[in-house]
Amino acid sequence: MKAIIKTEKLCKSFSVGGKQLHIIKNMDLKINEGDFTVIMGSSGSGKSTLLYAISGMDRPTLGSVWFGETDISKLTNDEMAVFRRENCGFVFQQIHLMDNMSVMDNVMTSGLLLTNNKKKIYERAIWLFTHVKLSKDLLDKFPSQLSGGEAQRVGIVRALINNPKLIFADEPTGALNSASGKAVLDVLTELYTSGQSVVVVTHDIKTAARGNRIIYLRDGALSGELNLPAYSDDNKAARMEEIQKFLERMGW
Amino acid sequence: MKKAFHIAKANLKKHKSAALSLFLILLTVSVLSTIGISIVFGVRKDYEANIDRLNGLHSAIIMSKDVYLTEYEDFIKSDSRVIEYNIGEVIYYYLFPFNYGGDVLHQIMILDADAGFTISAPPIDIRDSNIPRDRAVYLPLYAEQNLGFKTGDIFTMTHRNRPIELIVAGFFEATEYSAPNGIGLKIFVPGECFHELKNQLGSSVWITARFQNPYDSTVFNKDFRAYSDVDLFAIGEDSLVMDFSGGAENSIMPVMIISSILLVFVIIIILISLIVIRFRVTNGIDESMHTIGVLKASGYKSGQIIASYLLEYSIISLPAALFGILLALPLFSVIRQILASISATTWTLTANFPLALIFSIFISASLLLLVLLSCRRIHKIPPVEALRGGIATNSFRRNYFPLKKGLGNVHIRLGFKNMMAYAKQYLMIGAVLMASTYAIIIIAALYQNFVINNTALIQMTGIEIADIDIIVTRHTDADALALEMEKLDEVKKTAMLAPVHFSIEGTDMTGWCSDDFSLMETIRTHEGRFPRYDNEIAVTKLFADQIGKEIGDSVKVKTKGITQEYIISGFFSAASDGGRIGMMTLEGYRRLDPNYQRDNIKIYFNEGIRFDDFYGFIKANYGVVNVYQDDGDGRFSAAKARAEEKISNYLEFYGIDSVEYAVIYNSEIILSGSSRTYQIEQIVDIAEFISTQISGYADAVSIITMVVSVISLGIIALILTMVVRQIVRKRRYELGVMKAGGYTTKQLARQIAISFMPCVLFGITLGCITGTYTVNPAVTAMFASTGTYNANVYIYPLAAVIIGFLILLFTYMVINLSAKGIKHITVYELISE
Repeated sequence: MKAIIKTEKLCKSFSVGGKQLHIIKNMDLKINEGDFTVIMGSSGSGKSTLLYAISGMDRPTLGSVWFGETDISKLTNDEMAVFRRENCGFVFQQIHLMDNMSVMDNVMTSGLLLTNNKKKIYERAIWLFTHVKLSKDLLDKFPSQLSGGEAQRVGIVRALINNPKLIFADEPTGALNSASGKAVLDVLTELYTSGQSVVVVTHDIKTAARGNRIIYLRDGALSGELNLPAYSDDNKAARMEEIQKFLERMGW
Repeated sequence: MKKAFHIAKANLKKHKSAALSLFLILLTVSVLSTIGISIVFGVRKDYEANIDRLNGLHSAIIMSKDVYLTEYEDFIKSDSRVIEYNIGEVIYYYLFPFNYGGDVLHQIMILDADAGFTISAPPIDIRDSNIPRDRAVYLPLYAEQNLGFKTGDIFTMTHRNRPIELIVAGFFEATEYSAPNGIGLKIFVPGECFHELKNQLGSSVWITARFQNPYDSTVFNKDFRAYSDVDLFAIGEDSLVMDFSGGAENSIMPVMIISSILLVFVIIIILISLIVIRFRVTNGIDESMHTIGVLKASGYKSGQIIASYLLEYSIISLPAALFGILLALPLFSVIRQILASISATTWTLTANFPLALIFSIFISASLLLLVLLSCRRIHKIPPVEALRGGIATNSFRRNYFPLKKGLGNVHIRLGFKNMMAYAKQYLMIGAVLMASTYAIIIIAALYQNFVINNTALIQMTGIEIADIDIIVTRHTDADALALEMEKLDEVKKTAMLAPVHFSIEGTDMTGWCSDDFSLMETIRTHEGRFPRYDNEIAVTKLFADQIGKEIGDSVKVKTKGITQEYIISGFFSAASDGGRIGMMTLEGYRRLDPNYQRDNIKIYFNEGIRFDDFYGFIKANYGVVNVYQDDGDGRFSAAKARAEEKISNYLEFYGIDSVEYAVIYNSEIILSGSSRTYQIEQIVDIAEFISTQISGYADAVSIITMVVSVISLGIIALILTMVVRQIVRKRRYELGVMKAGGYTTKQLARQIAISFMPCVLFGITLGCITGTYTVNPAVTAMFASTGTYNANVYIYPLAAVIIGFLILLFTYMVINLSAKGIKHITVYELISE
């Protein structure tokens, strides 16, 4: 499998109250193209920090993050922004839609960063909205008028609008009820099935079950890894059991 | 109160930079108002104190020796209001050009330092006693301190084009007639020099008096004139009458104008502050809605929360007011220097603490009242609603500037979208920019009309300014010469406007008469018209108001013992002589003085003609009395000058029409001829003369232009920084999301700048338009007290556009710089929240 992201001796530290906290420690990690990678670990293990360090949202304290031939840790802030817009899509736990913009404008705001062709972006947005099973009636509504599940699916459309090489999702179902959560996971799974690389950080086993590769972090280091076949409703129970065992082994 | 204090402290800590910006604006208000108020209320007092300290004059009268009677002294002595008086001699000249620190003054009073005057005769600091006493001169201290005169320097005066050179030997402190931009100069010379000069120039009677109440001098002067029945003119060729108010007016008027403009500007800043505070409080409540909910849920009363807001703004405004007053204190040494440079009195002016404090407390109280009014809605918000974040302030009913269609790229449309989302803030910015631009446009118009091209200021003086004024000799027919000169290629036109003197209803006036007022270029009526018939007179509105007359009313005009009635035909603007100026037709004046012969021709040049070239031409072809020139034969130049001076004296003092003369030196005739060859008595560069007279106003406006422009731009920068930061803070979350999506800091800063631009542009445009169209009434109102009823001040639309464009550029730059704070918003921070 070809690695889409590779880290070398990745370290990330924070200074809190004059004390240095080492969140990620010398991590060497590969994220493969076409994988649905799930990052798990207990609270404070460095899952989200890792996600944002490898996605160009944050800069590592030490070490490198390679995206293809580019070491994104060496990019300037603006170059990093360009890297994100061209290669990454993000789905957040808190969704982070912009309240003063309509649903469509939330999506177009990202889409129009790469092209001025409004029509093309609009048509792709419509296609994606249909794909994630969002009614066209919602497109002119504002985020405050949507349910959590609808809002997160808008978030996914926004993440996909620029056809990114990678989708990063941080607890994408964390703020949703189970029905909405399932709908969002179905969308992510479908994306993976169609060849999209996905990296998800989660605490949730149901979410983890959608991935084909589970990485477990402990104290800022890789503690274990579980590879699974592609998800389908048929192997759901067996996967859940296998993941459960893996997590128990990891001290979950 | 303790609880409210804690909340206020927390709010201040949270919004440090906004609090600092507001503090700085209020500090500016306090500093400027302290300065303005202290000047307005202190300047006259300071002037009075200076007069007392130097035993200065309250009343001064200069009159010809031939009309002075010894009984006048008895009249003065018997007046119980007079506490001290001097009567002596003065060498007084009204059109007597001399260079004084780069400016050319035309009015001089030369006094004998050894005459034993006690009034307005301060001790003279003689620096060099070796300078010959018959050539020594003592100048006002101002000349040393501000104009660079040193002991040993040559001080040159020009009498009828002949230089008189004296050597600076000392200095003295003066309250009046010492600034280069005043109406004239008073100097002292030793007795020997005085007698030497008197022989050449003649002398007049110098009467000065001091009173128990200085303001009694006005009535005294009137009484004296009535008693003496001599035609004494406020400022004339042979006489001068000045009272305490007139002296003060001449000395402090430019200062009063500066302080008035400053106070108007302070009012504009106060209005801006009120708008900003209203915006801050309303916004602060919106931002703190959740906190308000938590506080209310915890049992805080609405009153306590409101008290915290009042406390927060008290903590900002009261120290700003007090520090402003304290900060103004050291500035007074600079202000005193500035005041001294435009009004040469020595100033001791300091901050007027009680008044500044009262004003500052009043302003602070108004601000707090506004805070209280803006906070009223806290009463109406139930805790649960506040916990939910309150009522959404943004209207989502319309999706403004949708991205899927329409003109402009994504940044422009996002910028406009944000503008609609934060419409209130942007409208506030629009209002602030409108007010600031308006102030800058007005001040720029003043600068354009008073400093760059002073035509409007000249028009305000009510004096007709041609390129040159020619005063003809007694035997010359002025009308015929005017007609002859009008045919010259260099001359565009000539006009006859002769200076005359009369009193209207007992008030001494400066007057002008002409047979065709339509030829005038700088004097204009703003109501009615100039006189056409011999029973008409035009006056200033200020003067008409003072005597309670309107157009169509009759007034009694008197000169040389003859009184006639005239009908007021119109009002014109005149900021000189306290508005005491009147104009009538030549025939109208001849009703008072039937033998009056005018001797003044106004000449207007064609384009490109210079004074110096024309002067040479006139000198060569028409003969100018007492032209001092070196004919190339250095041996006789001094003798020629002396001879011509004698001829001049004959003509002037003895009423001689013409003289046939020959000057023999060492048996050789070196100069001969007839004075009839001299048609011209004097040529006056009237534009230069007036320019000196009004330079005080120009200096005042230059200073105030700088102050107002810098402060306006500073306030724009402070408020924009405050609002941009507030918007960035408010949109932190949204900006973080956009950064995550791939927007760069530069793109987001640009979007913020774009979002401001429509309101900024609207505010600036409105400020420019209102400024351009209301500049004349605004400036007229500012100068109304000087006799100006139509200032004719304007600003070139192109200049207004350029100013607007520069403000726009400045605004764009400030917004971009302030929005650079976006770079501190990290995506990680957004997520980790």
